[in-house]
Amino acid sequence: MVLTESLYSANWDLGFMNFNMAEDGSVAHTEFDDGEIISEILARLPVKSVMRFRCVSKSWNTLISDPYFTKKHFRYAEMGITENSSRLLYSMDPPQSLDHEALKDLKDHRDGYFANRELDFPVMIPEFSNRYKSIVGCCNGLICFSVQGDDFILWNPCTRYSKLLPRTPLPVFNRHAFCGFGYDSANDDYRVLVGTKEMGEEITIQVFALKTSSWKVLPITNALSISGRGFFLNGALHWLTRVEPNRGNSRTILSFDLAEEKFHEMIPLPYDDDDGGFYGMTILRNCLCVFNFLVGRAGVSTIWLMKEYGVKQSWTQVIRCSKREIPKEHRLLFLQPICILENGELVGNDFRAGFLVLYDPKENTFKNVTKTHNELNCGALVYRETLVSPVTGSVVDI
Amino acid sequence: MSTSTDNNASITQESGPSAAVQDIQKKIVVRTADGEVFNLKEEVAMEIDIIKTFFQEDSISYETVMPLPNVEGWEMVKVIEYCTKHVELKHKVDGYKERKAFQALFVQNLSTKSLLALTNTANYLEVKYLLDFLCQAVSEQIKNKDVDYVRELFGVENDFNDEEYEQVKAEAPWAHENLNNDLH
Repeated sequence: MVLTESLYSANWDLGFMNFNMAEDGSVAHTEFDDGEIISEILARLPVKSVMRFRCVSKSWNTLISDPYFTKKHFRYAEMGITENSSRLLYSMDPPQSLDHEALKDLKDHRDGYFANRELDFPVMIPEFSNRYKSIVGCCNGLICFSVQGDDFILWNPCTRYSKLLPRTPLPVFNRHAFCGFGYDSANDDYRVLVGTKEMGEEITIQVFALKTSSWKVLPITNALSISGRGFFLNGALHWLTRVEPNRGNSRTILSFDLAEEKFHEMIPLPYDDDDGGFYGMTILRNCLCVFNFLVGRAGVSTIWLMKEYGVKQSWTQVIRCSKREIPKEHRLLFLQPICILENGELVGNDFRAGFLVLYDPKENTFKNVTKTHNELNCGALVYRETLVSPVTGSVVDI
Repeated sequence: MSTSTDNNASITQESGPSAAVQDIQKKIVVRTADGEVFNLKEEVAMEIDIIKTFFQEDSISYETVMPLPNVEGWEMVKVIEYCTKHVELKHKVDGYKERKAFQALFVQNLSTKSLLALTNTANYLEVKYLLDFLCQAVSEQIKNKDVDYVRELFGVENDFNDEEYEQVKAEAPWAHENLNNDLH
């Protein structure tokens, strides 16, 4: 059938398709401009493709930048319709990330091709590069970090958009006790939490809500045995409680529910470690994770994952390594787990040496990946590539 | 449009009328934009919501030929093919592999442009599962393509001037690199 471009007779706009019908009934399809269908197709594409197709035309750029679309795209990624991609941030000056799955092909760090990418971060604070940066948290592709404990920034390293948060109502400089960043699904909002400590152990907690772009002070002031950055999972921030000598209570994981704005849920550890065995916690493979180093005479280091959230019996030891199994040059390794690759290898931060290391638990080998940079307090961080906006938090525009 | 008081759609007995009459009673007829006429089995026709609504809402007699001015003959062939398979697999317990194999064959001889035309048709005819499948198929085919290809495919004109284009591109230069390597 021949498609003609003859324009006589009717020119109908059926809303989804512009076409011109000629006298003999043949139609000429011009531009495919059904926004809904284009949106459906694009929402299934990986972030890289979506970012590229912003350049197709102005209307495509508008469609892709719209919160309605970014929300749909994000939802499809969560549902597994689109492949999820994530990267590892290992430096802030300059900001750089690598593809951690590409590390499985790593022979030694000289050969390392791991899809390194320099990220763009618009500098918005004076003396930015000279000031100490500290990760507060990472969630849904947004990274929150503090600059010298005073200013807070939300950043999407993939789209490169960022937002400088307004200052906290109460001073936080040099008073940080603990902090965290996460997503409150009940209110569809992102939250930043900062806990500061005055003299006499009194705690002040301030929480920021992205939707209203405002801080508020919470009425919780009792001393809590937590410190450092909290880890976000299942709508709550988690901290490994500190060892309290002479208090007689064993350690747990304390959680703060972002929607209810309350501490609760003491989550038990794999076993009671009154001797302070567990060094720290993180999130691996979407599970709570605790780890310890060189425990006991044999100097055993282990990593545990809580396969079922909140269920003590579901704690599973995924990596176990004793001192004599480690090659001499890595023996004093204090490996902070960053992520586990699909093939079971562990990417860790040797924060003593300042190096990212790849550990193969089957072969018991260690490979140096790259030098980490001191300005990232956690050594390295895995983030998802998403289109979520740090300005709006991908709120639906109505 | 004629309506009939005796609703033919309600006749479903196996016994009684001869096979030939039975067939006629259970078929629905449509005519596409190019004048082609298609006889659909009732159960397949009912997968297509726009047809289902047309006949059921006003109890329209199946003798009526439903016009589909926005659908080409070849498109109707493909839609019937997909819906027929879908109905067939509905009754199977584990049709996953078979569905996947069928889907692969379905798109095999269709150009991406044809796939795109079909998404419009699936949307117009209101067959959701077909629309979802086609959107997925198109997205997979354009995933690693460059901007020019996509413009061509969708018939979109570039309304950026050089400066504007470079500006948007500069926001994610890495998205334009390594398109064939598929490392990411």
